Amino acid sequence: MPPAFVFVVAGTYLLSGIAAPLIRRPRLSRVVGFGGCAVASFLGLTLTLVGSLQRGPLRLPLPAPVPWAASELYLDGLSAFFLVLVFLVGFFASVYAVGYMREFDKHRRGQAAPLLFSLLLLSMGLVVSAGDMLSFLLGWEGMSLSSYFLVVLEHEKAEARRAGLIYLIATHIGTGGILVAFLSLEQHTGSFSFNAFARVPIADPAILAATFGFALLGFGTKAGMFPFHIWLPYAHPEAPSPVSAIMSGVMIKMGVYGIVRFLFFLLPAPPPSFGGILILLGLLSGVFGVLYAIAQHDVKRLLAFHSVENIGIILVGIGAASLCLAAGQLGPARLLLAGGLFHSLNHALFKGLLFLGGGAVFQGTHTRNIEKMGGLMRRMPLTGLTFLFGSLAISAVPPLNGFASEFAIYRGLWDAAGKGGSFPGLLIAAMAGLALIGGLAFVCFVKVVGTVFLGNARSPSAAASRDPRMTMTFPMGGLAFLCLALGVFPSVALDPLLNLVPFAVPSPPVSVLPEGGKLAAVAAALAFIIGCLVLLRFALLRRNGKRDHGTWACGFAYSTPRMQYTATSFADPVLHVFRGVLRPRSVREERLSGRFLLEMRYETHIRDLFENGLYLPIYRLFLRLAFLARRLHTGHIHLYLGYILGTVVILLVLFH
Amino acid sequence: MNTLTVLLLLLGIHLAVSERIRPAIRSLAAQGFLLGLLPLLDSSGGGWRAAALCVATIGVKSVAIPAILTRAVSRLDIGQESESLISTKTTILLTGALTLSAFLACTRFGLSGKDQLAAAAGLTLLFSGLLTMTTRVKAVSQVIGFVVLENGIFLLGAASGSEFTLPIELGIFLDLFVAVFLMGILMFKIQRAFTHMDVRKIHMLKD
Repeated sequence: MPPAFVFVVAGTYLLSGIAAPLIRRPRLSRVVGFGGCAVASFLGLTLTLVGSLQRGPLRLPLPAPVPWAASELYLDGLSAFFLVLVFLVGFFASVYAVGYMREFDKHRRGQAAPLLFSLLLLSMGLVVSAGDMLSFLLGWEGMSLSSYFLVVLEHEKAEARRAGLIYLIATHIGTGGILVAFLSLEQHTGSFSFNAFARVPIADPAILAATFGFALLGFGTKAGMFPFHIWLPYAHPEAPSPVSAIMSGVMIKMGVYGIVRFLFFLLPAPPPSFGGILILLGLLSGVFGVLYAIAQHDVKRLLAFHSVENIGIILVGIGAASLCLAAGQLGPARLLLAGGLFHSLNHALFKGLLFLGGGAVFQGTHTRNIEKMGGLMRRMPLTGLTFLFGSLAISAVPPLNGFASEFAIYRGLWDAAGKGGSFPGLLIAAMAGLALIGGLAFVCFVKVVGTVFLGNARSPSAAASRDPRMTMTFPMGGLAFLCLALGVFPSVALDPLLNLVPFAVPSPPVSVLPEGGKLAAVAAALAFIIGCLVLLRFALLRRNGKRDHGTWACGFAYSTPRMQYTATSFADPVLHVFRGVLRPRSVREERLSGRFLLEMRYETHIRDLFENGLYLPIYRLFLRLAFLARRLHTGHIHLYLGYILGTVVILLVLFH
Repeated sequence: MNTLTVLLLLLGIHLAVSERIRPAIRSLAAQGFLLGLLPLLDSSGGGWRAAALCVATIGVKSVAIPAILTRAVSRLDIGQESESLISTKTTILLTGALTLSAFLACTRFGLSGKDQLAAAAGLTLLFSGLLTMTTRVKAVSQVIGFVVLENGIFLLGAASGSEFTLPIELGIFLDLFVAVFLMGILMFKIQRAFTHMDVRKIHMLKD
């Protein structure tokens, strides 16, 4: 896109963000703020899509933030792809926020939300289009801070403050890692520019590994990669739903962007072990993410754990691509990287959709606990239908987009393992792991959709819920349509992705996914058949009418909503199978009268293995050290003066 | 110059080991007077400036501060003894050790002749002032320690070769004067609030 348009888009974001807090009337402020973000995102999306058709990267010098280094925007194919991600989900989330943020109208801080939201989108745009380290870090910090303030928007809640604190610490540890990695590159090139970094000649394998390790710490923390994921299930649910959609759909992809940028653009010929590590961490993220998700009762926390899972799938794709590249298998490498990036796009779409749906459910029922929902499909048909689309997509069911991208990754893994690259065992294990993840994700969403949308309402507030207004249903519908469209026509996104992959391609550049055409045909046929069945059902219902009857209640005189199968019971068998790693703690209380059971309570709780096993001990160690240091702090003035005397003498005598 | 420095050093050691408050205040006044003579001896240029500095130094350090302290001692009725947390013997040994380490440290400053001696004396005063503040129980003694410490810094500054600039020195005097003045007021307050002057017991104020 031409340089002037960059300023138009950024200016629209900034203007609408700044205007919102200045407008006194909450309603108008909300419409101007979020509406402006929607307009800017739409503008940006159009310009990026049109602009990315022309060849060659766009370079745009920026005013230098510091005197000693120049700064520029550098937009290549990879940047354009991630910009599409930001603008696309940003557009739908902004429209949704116009309606959703109405409940914040009574608070003055509701008017700060549009400013923070536009800054979040704008800084993510800066992250992916930055051409040098300084503007990248500027965007990165802007993104982290604006999202932090959005997480603690409801700061009267203690959970929100705690989640915000955990997020703030995690994200700054991550930024530290990125800074070290960038400075290591700067040491070898003497420049802050990514173009100078490109294929930087780091000869020492130890330094190369350390650089990659710090980059992985930084970007992996933001992406929610295992074991740096613990902030994610706290922070994402506490933010308002459109913000959760942005954070889960787009912001964690900034970590993916960073890893891809590092691994395929900046580091010189990474050894195969880097790819292997990524595959392993990806598999861990995927399996643990989905297992913890199954154990959740909070719908937004459950979705947040699924983000960890999907990041795992994406990392498997990217890691395998790096592995194949190191082994010289260019064909599978292209397919795997394109598949990983395609899954990033798809995850942004369906996770955005699911979080928006979750927000609609939350506003309808005033609870996030899925055990208190039920029967929402009849009361919120639009929300229910779009949520079903999102659930099918995230469970990788054809003909939706989640299947298409996972298929590309499977296909790439198969090709690579079949042609005997390095670590074929790892590639086959990755395939098996992906299959396990997919199956468990399906279980999880059967649980969610079954508990939330089917059956009868489990609480009065669930019984009183209704579909939200147009501004909220339209984005959900739009995202659901895109999930279906990309599932039926995957080549729309996959072909450009195959061509933006930076490494040399074997000529001629054929379509690397041989089944691409067939896949589309099968998906279209499936969509057609399902459509026909739905029409048939409508026709039959119209002819025969609909009759309501009570269901058979196992011989009981009447049935209550409490007799329904609960989400906890549904999840229990899976958790039981994996009890070795999950270590669920269950509480079971029974009250008996003779032989008859009067009352029974059963609860299961699962706590994060890494949170308890790794981070809590570290935290306790620091706490103990702090208490030791506190002993120096007695309150006796003489002792403090003695410390000063001792320090002065030691400094002057020993270290002069 | 060297005689002056040695006298200052001896007065400093006397201050560090003296057990009674009033002689310590007199030593402090004498030290301030000697310090006031220092710019006159050192004057390499700007006679009126050195004279002004001399007058200011003697006025603050040798007249005003000792007067405030004497008045505090008589008004507060706290007796003659400046109680110490450690015995006089230990204080003497510690002062010796600190003097030795000050002279050791000064060998690395890259100064020579009388400057090195002055720097070592300044450092000794600094150390012994801190030691007084650390070990003495009564708040008045701690003010004395603070002034000795400041005198040490003054001497160290004089020895390091940079010439005295009037505005900076006057600013320091003002700070010192205000500090001692405030400490005087605070001592009255402490006396009234706790009916004693024992700094050991102030730790009860800790949260």
